[in-house]
Amino acid sequence: MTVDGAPTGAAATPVGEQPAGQISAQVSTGAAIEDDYRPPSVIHGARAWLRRFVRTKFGLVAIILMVLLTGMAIFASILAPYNPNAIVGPQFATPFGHFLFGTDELGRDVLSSFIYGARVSMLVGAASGLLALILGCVIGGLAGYLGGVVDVVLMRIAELFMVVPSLILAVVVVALLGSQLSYIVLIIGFTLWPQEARIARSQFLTLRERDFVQGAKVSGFRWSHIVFKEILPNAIAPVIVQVTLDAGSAILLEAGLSFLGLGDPSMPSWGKMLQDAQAYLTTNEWLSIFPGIGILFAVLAFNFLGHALNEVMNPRAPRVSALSLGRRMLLRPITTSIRRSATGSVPEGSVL
Amino acid sequence: MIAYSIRRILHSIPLFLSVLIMMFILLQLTPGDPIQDLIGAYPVPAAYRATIVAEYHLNQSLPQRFVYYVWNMLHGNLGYSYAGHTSVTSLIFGALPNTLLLVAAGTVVSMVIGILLGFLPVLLGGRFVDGLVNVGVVAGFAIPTFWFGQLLILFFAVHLNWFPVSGMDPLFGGATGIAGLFQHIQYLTLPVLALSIPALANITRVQQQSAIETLGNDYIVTAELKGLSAAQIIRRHVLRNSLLPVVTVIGYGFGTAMAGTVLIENVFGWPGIGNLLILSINRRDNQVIIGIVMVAAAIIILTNLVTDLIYGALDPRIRAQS
Amino acid sequence: MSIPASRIPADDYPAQGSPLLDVRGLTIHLKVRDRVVKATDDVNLQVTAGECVGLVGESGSGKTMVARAVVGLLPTVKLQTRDGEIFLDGTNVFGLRAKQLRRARQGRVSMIFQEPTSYLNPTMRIGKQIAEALPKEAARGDQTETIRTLLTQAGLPRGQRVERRYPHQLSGGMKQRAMIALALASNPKLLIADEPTTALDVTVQAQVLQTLRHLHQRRGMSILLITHDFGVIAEMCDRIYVMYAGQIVESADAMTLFTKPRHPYTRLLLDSLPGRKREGSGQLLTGSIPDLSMLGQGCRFAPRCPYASEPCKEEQPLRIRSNGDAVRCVLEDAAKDEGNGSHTGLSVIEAGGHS
Repeated sequence: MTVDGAPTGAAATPVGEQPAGQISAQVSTGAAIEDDYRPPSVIHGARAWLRRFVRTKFGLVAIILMVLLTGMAIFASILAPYNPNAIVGPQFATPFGHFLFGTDELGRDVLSSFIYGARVSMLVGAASGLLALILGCVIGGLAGYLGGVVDVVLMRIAELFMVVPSLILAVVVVALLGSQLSYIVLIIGFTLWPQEARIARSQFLTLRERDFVQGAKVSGFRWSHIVFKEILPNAIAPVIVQVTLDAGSAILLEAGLSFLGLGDPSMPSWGKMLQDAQAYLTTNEWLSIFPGIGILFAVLAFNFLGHALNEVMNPRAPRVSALSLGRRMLLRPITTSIRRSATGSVPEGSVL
Repeated sequence: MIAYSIRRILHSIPLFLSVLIMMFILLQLTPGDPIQDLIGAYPVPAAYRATIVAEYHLNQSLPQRFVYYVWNMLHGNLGYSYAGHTSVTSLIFGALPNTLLLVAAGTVVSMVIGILLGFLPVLLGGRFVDGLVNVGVVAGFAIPTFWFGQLLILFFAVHLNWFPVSGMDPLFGGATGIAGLFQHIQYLTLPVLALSIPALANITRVQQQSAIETLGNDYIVTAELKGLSAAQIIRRHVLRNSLLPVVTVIGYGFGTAMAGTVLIENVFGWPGIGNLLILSINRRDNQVIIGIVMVAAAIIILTNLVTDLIYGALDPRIRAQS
Repeated sequence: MSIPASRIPADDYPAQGSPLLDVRGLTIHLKVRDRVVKATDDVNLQVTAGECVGLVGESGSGKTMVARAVVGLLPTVKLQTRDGEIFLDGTNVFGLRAKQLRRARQGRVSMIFQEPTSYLNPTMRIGKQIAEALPKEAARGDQTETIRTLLTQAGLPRGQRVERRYPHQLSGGMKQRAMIALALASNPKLLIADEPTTALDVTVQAQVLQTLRHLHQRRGMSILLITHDFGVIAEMCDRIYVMYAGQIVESADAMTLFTKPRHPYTRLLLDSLPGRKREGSGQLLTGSIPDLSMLGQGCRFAPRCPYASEPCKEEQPLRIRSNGDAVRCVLEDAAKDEGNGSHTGLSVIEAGGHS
């Protein structure tokens, strides 16, 4: 069914014949398959998209948190009252006194360490996430697009990285090869890419068979155009969502590594602060409070980002919340049809 | 079912081998003197070096060395720990039961609570419960488990004094009988709670989604039209079908929990292989490190395999393919 | 012209006995993303005992909504307006909830759907699923026998032991028959079949229809058959309702409808069936059904109607004849005025052209 003449999501089949004399216009480029459903690309309509994003409750919080944390990371030197490594006060000063977060076992300001700690976490989150994104898309895309032996081999490799738990792999590699920040980012990225690869692969697999891709192939477009301009923009949405979630995992991994003493020794890290706090759990408990909160909110920031992106890119049919026993009848939404289509019109379906 | 099982089992063997290969390559990539790495942080006299070279076949080609390593491993020889003055095998398998206890308990806890919480929004209805559970899930995924462990210690052990701060009641040789059980539980509670959080969050999320998705299925409409009450529908149709995907999540969660023990054992001073791993890293006891990874990988591959087999047995679509 | 209430007054109803299903003035408006979709408007429909009634229309005509309303499967969350009454065996079931609804349905109405696969629990054996639909009083042992009988009646002989199988082990046609057996389990007086053969192969279609016909004849079970396929209707139905854009536009007994269709929509639909002698002006049905959230005033078919004229811009009520047939079209007035309710009215307009 068409509204405003634009093709809608569900393939509309009007009953009856086309009035004679109307020939569907053949566009001369590769997109000759007009009525085929093309999922909305992420790139278009950026502003409307942003507005929808902020409107979700997750999106707003995510943006606020990201801004705060990134700001803290970038402007640490300005924001932190002291050098985190400098001894500036008595040992174990309690918080909310002269030192807002107190001091640690050597007399260093906890607040300053806290602010600088954001650097490592945000950096690792973003960088490892990016690495996982690239690796995942490339490997998953290759596997999905080419299929066959390539697919099998690549997915076996992915499974290998999934079987050994990320933390254990990261711990061992860092222990054996070194704990520089770059190594940490690399190894964390390497433990996380299989998730993205799986998603990218399934996306490429499905999209490869879609009419608009077949049409482009038949029209003689080069593979690079097909992959980057046709498939990738449509495939990348769920991968990006996964990346944001994995960025959160990356932060947790880095914190874990630092907690175990395997982090980059040259940079203050929330995990390392927690390690220091571990020894004094019974005596000076607040040392463990603040760094943990930092990690928690950094991970939440990325996770909320992912949730919001997910809601914007895949709007779910409004879920019926009243699913209770006894008092009320089991309510079922009309799952078959009333779905939000691109133009908002009521699509064909078995409902009506 | 048979074909499915065989395929699955055969699949696991090359997987394990590839983990082995990966670890082996890792060892080769480690900077420094390979013999020194084998031995660790101890000085190596020349004569000893010759013995090592002979024993580990170090002057032979890479593939041959690999074969020797696999051969040894299959015979239970994982090497010698110079720092621990005992075989790697005895070190690891001395600590393994403690870890298994922790992980098993953690899996059970996350399974029971996770399934209950996942079903709660469906049973009780209402946006409030739904939202509450969702908040819990989000928090569970974001919170660092080791920090949560510390918080638990702070609150329940230090302030309330309900539980010991750290350590573990010895599996054998400690108090016996009811008192022994009670003491076990005392030491187990906090670490198990902390360990189970990530798996719990995941199970809750999957169960919740699965229950809602199952409720949206058309055969629920059929059930309604048959005249079944809401309670009957949930009991007979929703429960069983929505639990199916959760089985795999629980099984694979075991592997995640294995990783989690590395941190939790550190926080709680639990003498398992997680602690051993860190200890060995600090002592540069590389053989133990590799050994632990291999044992952990083997266990995880095994549990994944068992999970898949159980799932195959439960899902009639797979089971009935005779 | 003011819009008269198009409800059929009870005393005017042709004496066929009180109907098993009596839908009166069914109006359902849904709220879909800030728009109001008028799914059905003032639908009146009757099925008497032992009758097979067809409800025909394109996708989007509202026919499925009517079926769902009868069995009580409307989504109350999305509902904006709900009006009318649905009398099932004397009880108004429209708006009943939970236990009352269950009790009202039991033994009176059952429904089968287009796609049997999704309506069967994949992890439960067929026999067990049918057993759930049986009246509670039956003893265990009798149950197995009853189930086998039901399956046989539905065309699945007991030798095949279908009751022991899982849904994925059955073909499409077998699954639909299993669903029929399931629907029969509660011994309903009315079976609603929503596009029961649309998803099946042509050969299987014929078989399933035959099964339904047998059941209709042997059990005296009424059937409300919902479909867009005129061929199916022709085979099965005694009386037919034609729906368009949420409204009933014509109703008549099968013979009349096929030989002398009165509403332009019906005529064009029938004309577009392959192999049918083209009557009238040889026009084709063009365009598509309107957006139900953006309906204007007047006849909803007018935009596509080759006979549309000035009076079509006003709301059209159903014109009801003495025998119960109904047409929602101005042309019917002209035909009545002409005297004998034949095609005359339309021919006059065709011959003289129209504005």
